Amino acid sequence: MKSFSALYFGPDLPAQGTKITVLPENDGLHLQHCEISGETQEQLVAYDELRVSTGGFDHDQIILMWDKNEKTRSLILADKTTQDFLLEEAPPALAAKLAQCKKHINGTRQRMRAGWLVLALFLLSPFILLGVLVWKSDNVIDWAVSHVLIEDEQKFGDMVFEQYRPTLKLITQGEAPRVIEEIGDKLGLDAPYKFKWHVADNPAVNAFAIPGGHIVVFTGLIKAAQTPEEVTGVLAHEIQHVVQRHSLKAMVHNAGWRATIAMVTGDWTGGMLGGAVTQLGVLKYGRDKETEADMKGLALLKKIRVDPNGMVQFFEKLSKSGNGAPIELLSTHPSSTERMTALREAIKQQEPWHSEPLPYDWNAIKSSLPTR
Amino acid sequence: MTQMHVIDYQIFGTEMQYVEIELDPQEAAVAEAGGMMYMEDGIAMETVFGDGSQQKSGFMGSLMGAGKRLLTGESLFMTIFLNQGQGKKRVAFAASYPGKIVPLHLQELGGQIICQKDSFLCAAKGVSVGIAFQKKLGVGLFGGEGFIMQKLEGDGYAFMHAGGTLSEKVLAPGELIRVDTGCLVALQPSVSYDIEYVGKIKSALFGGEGLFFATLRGPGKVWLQSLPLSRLANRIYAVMPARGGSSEEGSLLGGLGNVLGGR
Repeated sequence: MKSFSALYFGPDLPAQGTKITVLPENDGLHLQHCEISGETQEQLVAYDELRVSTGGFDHDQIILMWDKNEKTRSLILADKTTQDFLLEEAPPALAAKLAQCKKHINGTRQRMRAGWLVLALFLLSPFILLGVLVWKSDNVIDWAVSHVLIEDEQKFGDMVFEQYRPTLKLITQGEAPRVIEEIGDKLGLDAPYKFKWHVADNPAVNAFAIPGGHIVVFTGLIKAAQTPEEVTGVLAHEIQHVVQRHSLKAMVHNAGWRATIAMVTGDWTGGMLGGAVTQLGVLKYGRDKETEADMKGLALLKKIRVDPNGMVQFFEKLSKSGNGAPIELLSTHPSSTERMTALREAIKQQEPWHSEPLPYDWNAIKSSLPTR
Repeated sequence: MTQMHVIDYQIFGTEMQYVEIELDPQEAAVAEAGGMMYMEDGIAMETVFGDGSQQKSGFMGSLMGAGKRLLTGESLFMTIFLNQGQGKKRVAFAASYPGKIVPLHLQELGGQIICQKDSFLCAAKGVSVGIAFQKKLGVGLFGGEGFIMQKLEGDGYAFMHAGGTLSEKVLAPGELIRVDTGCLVALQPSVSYDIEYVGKIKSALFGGEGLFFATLRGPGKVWLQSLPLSRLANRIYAVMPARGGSSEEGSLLGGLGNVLGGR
């Protein structure tokens, strides 16, 4: 048997206890080197004299108590490894007495762990709550957005567009806006929204949708395209951002964060709507929303019998080319080969439809745009 | 042998005490922020985050220490008083309410003492002031000391302060005393601290001792206070004139006295 150390208490011993070595043998506990009133002696405590209990401030110490010469003495085991050693390897006579104690100690340890867990949860609860909010924010926003009426969304979109208009150099005269509107109206014929199409003079290859149906196409995009089919593909994609309410959701999302940050920092001066508007050009939708817009845009192309390859070609061309002009369409629309492949697969799976070429001379439209 | 700074001290006063600590050059004492009464020239005061016991534990360590101190409801900071002068210098810390200051030599007491929160006054630098959680729900709720107590660890001197008169008791193994809740100031970790229902509903309601006693079972030392601050505060609050208490002392007429007094 191995020995263990314990604190030895008795009425004639120091109040804080004396550290001694205890050797558990078959006949009892041998207390070694214990000093009582100056003299070293060895004591033997038989197991049947022992009373076993638990106690101490944390209720997790093992107390072995016995009476000798009308004095009560006790050994206290506070150390966890010592306790485990005794609980596992005690001689049978002692093990029988420790059984109850073992259950109690294990219960106490479990409760302690549970207590720490509860405390940790309590302290972390604000963060956990925030985490759940961030994690579930999409669902919350979907629910909130589903309660917005289309008329209200359009009013809101008009307001946003009016605020955004001064920063855009809108082109109202000429062929380009007319053609864009013509194609757009064809695409948006059955949609619940009344689309308003705008062409803005901006070299960036980009187009974006405002909630409620305003869609702005930059001249850079028109110039980058070779055929009307290519532009139609992009327009079909943007229409889906409006119809699927992606832009509204993204704005609500942004506004929510703005409000949260404003509340946390106490800084309301930024102006929530203004902030949301300046962010509009670079609204990001996330890959799943882009794919959704791709697929539903494709269906739209099918409905008006436009060749879908233009759409694929255009995206592909953009991702390959690096010809100077800032391709914002790609930075705001996270393009990836996966998306292209998915689009191609989708086209392959559908029955090829008879497409009619769009009756526009794209080069003429391009040359009608102001040159810089 | 001891890693702590050895400090000499002297306690002054009878019921409203203060302790004067003598520091050798480069010796230091830690105290709760705001406990200092006076210090001699040559003693530098420095405020530290946490309890200043672990100097090399880094930022996270001191942050944890400070976090624990926040849980005990105390100031995040502690103050270190370092003797930077030549020769011995003195610094004094005063108790903030009537009672006694108890010097505890932690090494002689087994290295660890658990005490009522707020009772820590000052200590030799190196004593760590941590928290001890009460893990029994009933004791935490009805034991009179709440769920969080202070744990003083180290091997130097620590000074504790409690209300009224202090009673230091040594409990033999298995010896039990029942204590009015709130009167417990400190105990060694070998002492089992529990609660016990007073026994009869009549006693519980009219005995004036509350529903529970705190029970302390040996072996080990316990310190009891005769007048917990909260009890003193209750009495003072009850007789405050603004609360309708009488400003006259011991008038048999009571309320009638107030009428006669023109109020």
